[in-house]
Amino acid sequence: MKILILGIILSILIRGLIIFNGLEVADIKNFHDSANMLLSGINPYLNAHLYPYPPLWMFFQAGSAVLAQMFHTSFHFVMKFWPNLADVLIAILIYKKIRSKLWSFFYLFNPVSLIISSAHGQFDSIGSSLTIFSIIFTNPLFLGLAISLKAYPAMLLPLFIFSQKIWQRKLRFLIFASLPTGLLLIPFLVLNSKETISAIFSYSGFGDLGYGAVLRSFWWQINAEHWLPQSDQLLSFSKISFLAGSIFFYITFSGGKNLIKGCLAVYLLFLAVYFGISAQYLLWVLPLAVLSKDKMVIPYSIVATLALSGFYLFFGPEILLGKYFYLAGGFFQNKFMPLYFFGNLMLWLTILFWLVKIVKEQLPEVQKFSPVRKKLVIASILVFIISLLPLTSSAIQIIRKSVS
Amino acid sequence: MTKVIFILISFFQLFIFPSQVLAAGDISLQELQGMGFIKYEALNTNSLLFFAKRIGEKIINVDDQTLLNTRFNELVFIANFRKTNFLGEASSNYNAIAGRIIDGQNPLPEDKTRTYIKILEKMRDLYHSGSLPWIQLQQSLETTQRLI
Repeated sequence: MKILILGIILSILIRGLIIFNGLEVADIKNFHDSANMLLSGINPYLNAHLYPYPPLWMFFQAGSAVLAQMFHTSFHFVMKFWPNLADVLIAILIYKKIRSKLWSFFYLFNPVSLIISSAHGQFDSIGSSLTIFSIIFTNPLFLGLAISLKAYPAMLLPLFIFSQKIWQRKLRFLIFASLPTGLLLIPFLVLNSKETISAIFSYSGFGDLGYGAVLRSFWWQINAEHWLPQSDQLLSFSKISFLAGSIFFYITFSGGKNLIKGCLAVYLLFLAVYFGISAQYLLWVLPLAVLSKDKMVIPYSIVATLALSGFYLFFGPEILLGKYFYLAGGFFQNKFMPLYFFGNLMLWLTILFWLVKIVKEQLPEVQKFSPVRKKLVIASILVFIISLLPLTSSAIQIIRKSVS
Repeated sequence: MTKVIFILISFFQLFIFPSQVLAAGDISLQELQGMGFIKYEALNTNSLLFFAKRIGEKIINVDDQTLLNTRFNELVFIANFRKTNFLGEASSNYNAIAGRIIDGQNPLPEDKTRTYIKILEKMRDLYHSGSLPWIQLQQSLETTQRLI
């Protein structure tokens, strides 16, 4: 226990150093602006660019702004406190659940966690910690709270619901998991229903990481353009593919003994198939993989760190390097493009390999399914493969255009 | 394993040798060759593998005249195919080596320098006078003129 406490203190020191070196830029700046909107009595959803999340996070933002004023400190110090606190909490939960200091430290000192929570200041670790609480205590309210912070744990909801044995419990889980978001949204819907719904549902990501980054790197070769003109098309195609793929995973993993593995598989599917992957999404799989002691998380962490380094050094060196941003030599430096490209290519291939490995491990379970469920598994995988065709065709077209 | 290697080679081939599958630039290769230009480089400033080529040059310790020729070929490729956002880097890379030769003891043969000047003038004239690409190519041209 003493070693765990020492590890936590050391991790807090490292995280503190990164935060101290950081600047109020990118998302943190948006958080401050939307906090000021709320504190001035304006609905932050009126500016979808600033606030595309479910409602709960805006109260963290406003609270942090008040605390920063109260203690005469920088807003980003207070704002970054919450995701880092969640990271420490996840490390403790990991230790409590699997009794392994090594795995706990693996999460605590993982560069992906340090970069996302301490340097970037994104709050995905809070959603992940609440999701883990929900898994451990089989409590829908924790998952509901996670969804009311950031929508991504909602993609796990069908797995949680089908892990319940009887229909009343399934319904109860659905209601309680939806309750926090529903209740918190009411005042904003009353004020500006159209804008609120549009702000939450219009955000689709930018294709910063994963295969989106690989395609953007190819496109860069034409004339140093870092925006893909086909982004909207790829986003639409990839949404359909993810939906089709997730149905396959829900059918294959629902009701199984290993809920964590199922959740991990759905997140990996998202990272493998969806086009609009943002930097912070890479954190989602970490706690689940560590909890299930999946060693694939080691190569994943290495390539994810490379991909993230390439992304930040190229697009936003001030996020990664903080006060020392000038060391990168400016924005969009061609010298970082190979790191961005190869990092993301390796990341995407690792994710694909990992996903296939998890599906293979699940095959003995599939053999035990009823004939109807087996047919559903086959049908859903066929639909998934068909849904990938337009996406693959668009990707090949981009690569061909980039080199001709 | 053989399949994996084959797929990887096919994949990387797409961007390792992009110039081999390129359509013609503003000025045809034949016309350029008529002026004394030899060939485009397989890897140019815009390539994702350009860094590997630069590392290779540092390891092998390529002499400045060969290096200048390589940078010149890359500059012509970037200018002729109007990859203007890479022109600043291609032009700076070329100017840096030309500067080293100007300061060094081993001058470039005059006929070669005149060929470079002729081609660079042609490249510069592809762009509007006073535009950024025009200025960048003019700088390279003026640096080359100092080689004589």
